Amino acid sequence: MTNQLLFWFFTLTITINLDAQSKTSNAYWMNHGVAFPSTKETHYTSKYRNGIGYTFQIGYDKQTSRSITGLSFMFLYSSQGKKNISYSTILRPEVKYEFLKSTSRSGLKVGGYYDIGTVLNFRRGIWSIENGINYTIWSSLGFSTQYSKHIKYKEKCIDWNTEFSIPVLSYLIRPSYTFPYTDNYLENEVFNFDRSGLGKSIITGGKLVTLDKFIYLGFQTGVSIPSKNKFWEFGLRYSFKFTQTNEVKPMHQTIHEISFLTKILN
Amino acid sequence: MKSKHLLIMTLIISFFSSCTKEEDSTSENMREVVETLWKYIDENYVYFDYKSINWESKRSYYLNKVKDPISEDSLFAICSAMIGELKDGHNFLNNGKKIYKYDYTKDFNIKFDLGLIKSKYLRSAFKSEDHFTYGIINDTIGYIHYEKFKNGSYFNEIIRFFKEKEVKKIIIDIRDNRGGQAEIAQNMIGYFIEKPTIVGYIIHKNGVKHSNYSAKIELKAEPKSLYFDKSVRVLTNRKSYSASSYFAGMMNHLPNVKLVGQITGGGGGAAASFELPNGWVVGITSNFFLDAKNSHIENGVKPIIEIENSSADIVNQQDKMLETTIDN
Repeated sequence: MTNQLLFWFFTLTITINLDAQSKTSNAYWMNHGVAFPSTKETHYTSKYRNGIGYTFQIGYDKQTSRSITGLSFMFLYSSQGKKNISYSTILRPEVKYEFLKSTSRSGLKVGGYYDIGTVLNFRRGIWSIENGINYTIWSSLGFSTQYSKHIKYKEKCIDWNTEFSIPVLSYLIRPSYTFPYTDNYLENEVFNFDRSGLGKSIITGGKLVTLDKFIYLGFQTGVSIPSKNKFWEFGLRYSFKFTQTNEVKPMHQTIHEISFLTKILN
Repeated sequence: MKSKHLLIMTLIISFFSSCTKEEDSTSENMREVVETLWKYIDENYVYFDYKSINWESKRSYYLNKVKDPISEDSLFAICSAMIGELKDGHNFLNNGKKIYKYDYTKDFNIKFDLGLIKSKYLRSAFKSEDHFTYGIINDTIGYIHYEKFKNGSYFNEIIRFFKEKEVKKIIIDIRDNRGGQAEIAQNMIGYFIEKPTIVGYIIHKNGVKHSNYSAKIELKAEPKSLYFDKSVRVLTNRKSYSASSYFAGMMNHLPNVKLVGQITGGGGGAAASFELPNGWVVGITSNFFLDAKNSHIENGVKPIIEIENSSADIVNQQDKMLETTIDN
């Protein structure tokens, strides 16, 4: 019951936040590039699997003077390992609201954020395994910072943006001990042998955790050049994501990514 | 200035935190493979208590076998032997070239010939659809052989057919059926019950200790619109494994049902798989089924009428197991 209340609290919070903003600017963006994931999901492996692959992301940001609300979806496909090569598909949908306040230093903003994110790891090896799908779902409150600077180079204006965020308190959903279902999914009156009750059970089957149980560091920096009519923006971005859960069967994942960015500004 | 330093520090930390070196499998420490395998089994296998296995003693026994470097084949044999200690047909070890599985059929005499049933007992008047082979024996007995628990929806058509033909008895032959989807087994029970019926329980491992189990989860079968209220016989042999054993275990406690044949292969759980440090994949049973009377089926479901075919029976074109089932 507590978990269900927490879930609805977080959902309502973000809904209110999304509606409360005054519209200032909108940006639709897309980037694609190369990514270097390293994953150790101890539900199904004892080792890190490092890989190289292709990444594609789409997103939408709504920015006011004080806040950024963003939706993003990341797709990453990579081959992993040197021997017994496996292939991994990582999906990371995320909704994030940041409330940022300007500091005395020009271009530097600090504040808090709230997000709902998911990492879905799909593994395909040279042979089939039963539990090749795994997930981490979170809803977090945390600290966020952003630094942006306009640089003039040969009469061209280049934007340099850097962002960093870290969660403090999260509602974390992970698979149950032996199967890719939540612990609650196994309880009487919740479990359904045909697995049709999976969705609701997953959502209500999480735990409230602090930084020592769940870390999701996000860092990105990049430069972009706006087009003459200020409608387009093109750029290059480096992004780093570090996700770690310290539950009974932990998951560690780092992703380095270098990508080309295309933005439509409105 | 401070924020600049902070940014540089963050970049450095982020790079180093992801530089976890992937171990080269050619230089894998073989002891680590054995140790990891032992630990994974220790923390995930469900039948230690039921099978009275002293798993702690196995650790040093198998680690001592890899004191010196050995070949990959030898390591595979050692790991397979360790898994074999559990005597569980669901467990496996896969190194990409070969798969080890415990043979639950050894020491059993298993003789079954579906061709003989088609030609002699069904007189070639049979139909095969979605892993089912069915027909009518002696004008009054409906016979179904189910090859594997997959695509079970056609079972509805077969029951409808038998009801139209007003058969007096149905024989569900699951000999040589190695299993499949347990959900299908539960669904098939619905044709033989009038009201929702608890047909068993599932229990999952939910912690690292041998005694860490989830609460019992009821498996309830729902009645179907087609209800067969006459006698049902389930014919089994040692190759009736996993979902077949579930089916036998679920049917065993229904009023109109009798089990005939040979003890089933067992297999009362499902395996979760895991990758070892050298890339091999191990599968270990991490949940288990109890029947409606809280009995394990892991070592097999024993029929009320036990009978088996000999080689001579098959050579002489006789299926004594089926004939006994017809007569009872």
